[in-house]
Amino acid sequence: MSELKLNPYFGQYGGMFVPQLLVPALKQLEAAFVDAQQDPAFLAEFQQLLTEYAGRPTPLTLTRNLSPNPLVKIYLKREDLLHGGAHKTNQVLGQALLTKRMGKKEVIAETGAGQHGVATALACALLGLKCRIYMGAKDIERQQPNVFRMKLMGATVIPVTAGSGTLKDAVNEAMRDWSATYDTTHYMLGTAAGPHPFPTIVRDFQRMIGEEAKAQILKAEGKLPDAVIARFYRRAEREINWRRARGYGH
Amino acid sequence: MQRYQQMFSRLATEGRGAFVPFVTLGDPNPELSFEIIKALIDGGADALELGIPFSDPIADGPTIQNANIRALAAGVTPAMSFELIKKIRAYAADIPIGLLLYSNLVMAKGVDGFYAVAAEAGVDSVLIADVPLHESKMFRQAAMAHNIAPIYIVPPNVDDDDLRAIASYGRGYTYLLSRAGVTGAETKAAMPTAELINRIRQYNPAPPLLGFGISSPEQVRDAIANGAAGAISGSAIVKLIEQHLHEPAILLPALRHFASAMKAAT
Repeated sequence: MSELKLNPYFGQYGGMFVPQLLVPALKQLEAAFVDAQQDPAFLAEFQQLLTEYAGRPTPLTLTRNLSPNPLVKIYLKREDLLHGGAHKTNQVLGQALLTKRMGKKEVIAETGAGQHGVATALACALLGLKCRIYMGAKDIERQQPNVFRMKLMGATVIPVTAGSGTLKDAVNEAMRDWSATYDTTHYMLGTAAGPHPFPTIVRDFQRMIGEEAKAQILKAEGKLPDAVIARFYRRAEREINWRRARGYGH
Repeated sequence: MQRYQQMFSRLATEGRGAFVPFVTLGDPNPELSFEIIKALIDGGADALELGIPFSDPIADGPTIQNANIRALAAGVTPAMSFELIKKIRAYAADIPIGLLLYSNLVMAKGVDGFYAVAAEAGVDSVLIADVPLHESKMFRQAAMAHNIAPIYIVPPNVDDDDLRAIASYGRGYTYLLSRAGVTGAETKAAMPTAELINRIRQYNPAPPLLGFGISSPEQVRDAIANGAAGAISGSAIVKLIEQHLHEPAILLPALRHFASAMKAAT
């Protein structure tokens, strides 16, 4: 069998647990990603979008009132100030450029609370890609403002009523769509989960958050912080975790 | 897994192909599910493909998704599914029984344990819909250790390297995918050409059965004429179940009739 270019595993996790039919599409994506990472023109365009469109670098803010203890200093890395309102914008810009690189004209995505849907819709509007977003029917009710923003930016929002009507079911429906449309369509997965190479792509297209924060704290404090805290177990990640849990030994 | 070899050599002497129905175990409830499977066997099924109900069947279209939902709503568990298989095995000692399911069900209680339970229930083959060739090693090894045939899917976009590997690792039969997409009679099978099946057969895999979008005797006839060893039909059968959920007196004869019409086309 033709080999993968990158290691699909993260220790006992990871892997590529999808129907055989989707393997060529995932291999194509992996090849495009590896190739793009070595292409200065791709990296320059990605960087330009991040600075001139999305608003990077985001500031590192020293909070003034969070801790009453003068010995404690708490900084916030302000991804909330990014265009779109969340860190999601970073990696969708990268994936949208990959989509064009692969010659695909359409994008599908799943969204839970709606932030990834909004980010996908804006990246697609910016780069001229046709966009459809799968969203649980219950999530659509709960997150009307985000649904409005997605539609405003030209995306089609498709309600998913199957199962629990939430993110997990939206992921299933997006995968079903993709298994019939992978020739023309890119599946823009929204978090570091799902089959290889998505976790690696999302990680690498989000790494600027850590790189910037590190440089900013060194400039501000002259040393690295004692602790770094990241909220990662959001509802979205928790619900999507079932798919990540398909890795070995879990 | 010897039952597959016996079936294919019997069919070869008869000069015919195989008709293989698929249903979800326990749909719509365990009692009626057993009667449904009996009706398909009585109607002329050569082998069975059976699903264990699962909440996230990503390779399935709406018809089979609903079968999974109905069985889960009826409280059907993997343990109950294996009990049902034992009853089917007692009813038909020689029919090859294949499982078509998702990896969570295999991994939940340990891969080896799953295959041990399956072998004990009388299962001949296991196809895991979301385990591609790359990830199949530990499943294949556990299957072989328990004398269960690991089944591989050959999609229309297969390359020669994968074909070679599938031919060498697969046993029982080879699941030839008629088209891209998910299961369902809404999107008809795209009939693979005789050239494609011939190319696949050159690698000498286990006999290829064509599946996805097969709902009529004409499609069964075409599949075999083009070189497939038979055809698998799922959604068309599950649609009959859906239509007559509360009318077993209509459903069971209809299923027998469907199976015999499909078998007659082999």
